[in-house]
Parts: sequence; C-alpha cells; structure tokens
Amino acid sequence: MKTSFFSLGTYLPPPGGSGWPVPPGLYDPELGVQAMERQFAQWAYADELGYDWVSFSEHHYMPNLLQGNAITVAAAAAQIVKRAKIAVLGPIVAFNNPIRIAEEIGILDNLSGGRAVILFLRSGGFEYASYTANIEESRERTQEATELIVRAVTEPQPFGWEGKYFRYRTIAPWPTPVQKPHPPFFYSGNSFESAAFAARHRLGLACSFYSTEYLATIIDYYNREAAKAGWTPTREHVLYRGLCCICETDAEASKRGDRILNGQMSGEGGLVSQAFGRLQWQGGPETVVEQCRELHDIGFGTIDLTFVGRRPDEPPTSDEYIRHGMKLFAEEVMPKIRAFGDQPAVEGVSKSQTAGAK
Amino acid sequence: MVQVAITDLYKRGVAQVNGFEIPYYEAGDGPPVLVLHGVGGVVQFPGVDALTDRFRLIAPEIPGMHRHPYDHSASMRDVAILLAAFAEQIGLESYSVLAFAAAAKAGAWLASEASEQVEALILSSPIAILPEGHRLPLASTESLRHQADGGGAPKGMSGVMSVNESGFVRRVFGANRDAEFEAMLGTLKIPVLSLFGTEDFLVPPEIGRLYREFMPKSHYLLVPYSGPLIAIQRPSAFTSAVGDFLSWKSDFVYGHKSEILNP
Repeated sequence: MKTSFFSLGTYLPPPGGSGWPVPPGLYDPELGVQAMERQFAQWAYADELGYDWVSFSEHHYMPNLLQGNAITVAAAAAQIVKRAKIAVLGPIVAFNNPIRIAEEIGILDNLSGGRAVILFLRSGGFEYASYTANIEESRERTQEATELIVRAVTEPQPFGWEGKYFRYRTIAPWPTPVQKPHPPFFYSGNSFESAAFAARHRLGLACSFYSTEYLATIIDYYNREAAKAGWTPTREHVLYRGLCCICETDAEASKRGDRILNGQMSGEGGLVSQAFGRLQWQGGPETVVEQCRELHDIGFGTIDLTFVGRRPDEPPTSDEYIRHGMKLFAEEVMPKIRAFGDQPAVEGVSKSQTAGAK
Repeated sequence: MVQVAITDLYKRGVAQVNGFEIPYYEAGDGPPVLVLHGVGGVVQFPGVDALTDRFRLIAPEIPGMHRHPYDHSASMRDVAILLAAFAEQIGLESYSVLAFAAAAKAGAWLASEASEQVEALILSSPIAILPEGHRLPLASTESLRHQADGGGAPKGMSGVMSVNESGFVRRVFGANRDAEFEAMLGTLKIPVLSLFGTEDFLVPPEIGRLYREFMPKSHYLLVPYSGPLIAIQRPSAFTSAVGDFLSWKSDFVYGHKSEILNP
C-alpha cells in the first residue's frame, strides 16, 4: 500500500472571523509567507520520510487550505520534492477552463520530470460560490471537462470541441505530458455514478472520508463497470483520502482526536466538518495499521493522509504535531502497510474492529 | 421502403443534368450551401434546418445515393462531377458544400472538381477514409434509426440507412485507404471542417486526425454526447459550429459574439 502526504499550507494562527468566506482583510502577509515556508519544509520532510506522493487540492477562500490554484502550488513543490510523485487531487474541473488545466498538467509533468498524478475533482458547496458556478450542473460539467482534458493531453492533432458546457475550436496544448499516454488520472469516486464514469473512461477512482462499508460497494461496482468496459483495475487505481490523528498510544490519539471532534481545536474543526465529522485514522501505530489494512482489504492501493491532532500546549503557529504525525506514521506504519503488497483483495470488509475508517 | 417526409420548410425542384432528372429541395436565404445527403436520400435534420435562417440550402437527391438504382457513376469522383454539373445547372456561381457520412467522399471530390466555385467544405461524420480492414458495423442500420428516433427528429427519419444497405455506395466507395483521394485532399485550398461525434460507432472519431494530416489547415472538431448523427443528436452544437464556419470560415476559431454580461 502506498502513502500520500496531503499538505494543507494552513495559515496560522486561525485568523478569526466566522463562516465562509473569511475576509481577505484579515490576511497578514507575514503569516502567509510563514505558512508557505512551513509547506516547503513539510514537502521536503515527506520526501525524506519516504512518502510515495505529496498531494495538493484546490480550495477557495480558505485560510486552512491556501491552494486556490493547486497546480501552481504543486509546481513549486516539484522543485523541492525530488522523489515522491506530485499529486494534484485535484483541480476542480467543473468550473475552471479545462484547456488551461490540460496545459497546466503538461507543464507540471515536465517540471516534475514525469511525476504528476491528477484527480479530476467535482467538489461542491462553497467552492461553487467562489466562481458563481452552477452546482446543479456540476456532475455533467465535471464529466465533460474530464473527457475534454484527457483528449487535450493525448490528441496528437489540433482539434476542436463543441460540447454542452465547453466550446473550444482550436486545442493543441504544449507541452504535452512526459508520461504517455498521460499521467495517472483519477476521478472523484464517492458515488456509484462517478464510479461508473471512472470505469468507462479507464480512470482511477478517488474516494474520501466515507466509511469502508459504503466504499466497499463503490469499489465493487467500479470493478464490475470496468470489466464491462474491457479492463481490470488494480489497487494502483484506487485511492482513499482522509484525516489522520496518530499518536504513540491509542489513548493519546483518542484524547487529541476527541478535542478536534468536540470543536475545541479551531482550524482543525473546519477540516473535520469537511470530512463528515470523522477522523478516518485515529490511534496508535498498531491501530492505524489495522485501519489501513481494512482499506487495503476492500481494494485501496494508496491512502492520502492529512495529519491533525495539535497538542493543547502547542503554539498555534507550530506545525510540530503534523511533523510528529508524519514521522510516526513513516516509521511505524509505512513499513507494515507497504508489506501488504498487491495481493488480491479479501472478499468483503475486514472484520477488524478499529476506531477510525468507519 | 419508408419514404422520407420533407416538411413545407423546403420547396421541391427538379434539374435536368446530363439527361437525368435530379430532384432537389431548397430552403432559406443567404449564401448558398449544397447539402449532400448520406445513404438513403434527403433526410431532414433539425441541425440543418436551423441553418436556413442564414443560408440558402440546396439538397439534391444524389443519383445512386438515393433509393433509385443508378449505374452511371463508377466512383465517388464521377458522382462529384455530376453534382458540379447540377450546381451549374441551377445557376450557382459559388457555394459551400456540406456533406454527410457516405457523401463526404463525393463532397471532397466536388471541392476539387469545382475548385473555382466551392468556397468551403464541411464533412459531417465523414465515411471517406476508413482504417485499414475496418468494416462498418452490420448492425448500424438499426442503431442509426434508434439514434435518429431518440434524437427527437421529425417524422421521416426512419429513412436513415446505413452504407451496408446501399449496393451503389459499396460499389463506388473504393478502398478504405484511397491514395488518390487522400492525395487530392492535400490539394484543396479552401477552408475545410470535419466533425465527428465522440460516440460514433460507425467510424472511430480519431480518424479525424488523418483529415488533419492530409489537410493541415483544416479543422477537426469533436462533438461529445453524439454518435454519427450529429445534426440530430446535438442539433444546436451542429448549427453553431457549421453556421459559424460557413459565416467566418477559418476565423470561426475566434469568438465573434460579445461577451459583455451587463452593458
């Protein structure tokens, strides 16, 4: 099983204000630059610790996710991270210019020497308000944009596109990606319809936050739809993203995690609400290994981790808890989950009783 | 055999060409466009009808491509020569050509044979260059009709036929890869647009790359959510792309409509 480190680039301390959007007038450039520098250090550290991917994700007007254009951030990371893949999970394709994204994918894959991984993200909620986009049409727009981007990065001749949502009469991006036919592409896969689309288009499946019971049915459906489309996904095609609170002991992880879940940790509380009010991994190393095994057993091959769990006594601008979680996971969990290998998935969901990933 | 119903939008005429009667249908005002139907005869497509508010459309029943037997053309080039004579007979001094499916080869040859008259060429889901060894699906007739019916087309669309039903087309089509035809494409000096539905089950849409290779200044346009009947399945997309191309030729790649939201 492979491991991805999701770098938030959080602005600290939380700027105050309530709700969304947070007023830009509260932004202090000095703290913003510090947030960027913390990211740089985290990326380098993840690379050093052996994480397989460093990941990024587009979010708008959010102090805890300073990635309005995730590919821009990823391009910077590609110069710091020398080994791990650069995973943009991803650009929100429904309301951005798909041709611009295709061009950015080509640039990123070249900048990183062929290490780009891309998720075509639909997203939802506030993100659509940020660009006055129509959320009712978002599913079909995401699908059309995805088809268009895949075409744009693979088509050898200039072509045009007369879609429902996108019209471009001349498309010929330069540079094309280093990876042929294209970098690994994933599609948001939290619903059956999305899983079917991903399968039909031979895209990887990226799930997030939901329970293993539910996602087992999604993956099974994805595999069956892929078979109908004439191909067989492997674990490499299936990705899971979630929040991870890992400590030396289950008791400590429980204490810290519960503080987040109870809303006692400003900033991190917002992350948890996006993750459906749950921590997907919570516990000491052995418990987290079992939670990973549960995901592995239903077919996931890569996990994308956001580390949470600040100590109450930790200064609000410190990311020590993130670095601690990264290190503990890399030393105590990563070697064990790598050994899961790529053996066939176990039928059904693991019976292991775990605190998270439920 | 089902007859194709043509609505009152079109008036019918007949031209005498080389001793043959060629019926044709005409509608609209504006620059003339010769519309070349695929196998089965003149079929009314919503996406084509909508062009009549800007263009004068003339759709001849192509001898051999219609339902009547015709043995006087040995090749699509012969068909094109006959169509050039037809255009001259009805007094067209200059015109564009919009050719569908199996008529694409004749349309392209017409652009070559009447190079002084033809101003632009549009090939919709062309069946003119096929991959080596490619055979059109035998089930295509029913599939086409199903798509036509599902596209909200006017009555009469059951006249849609596949190439497999036409002995004439099979006889005059030539090889899947026709070197003479492909070389001719490279000599065309006019703007050319080829359109393909991304869900075309007759011809892989990627064949459009070859048109682009043979005609490097041509335009290769993909239409998602559509099979081979783009003018039925995506009528507004068809009208938009073809109408813009007929109006602006190669400059159709630029936006010409104001994008001001709130003046």
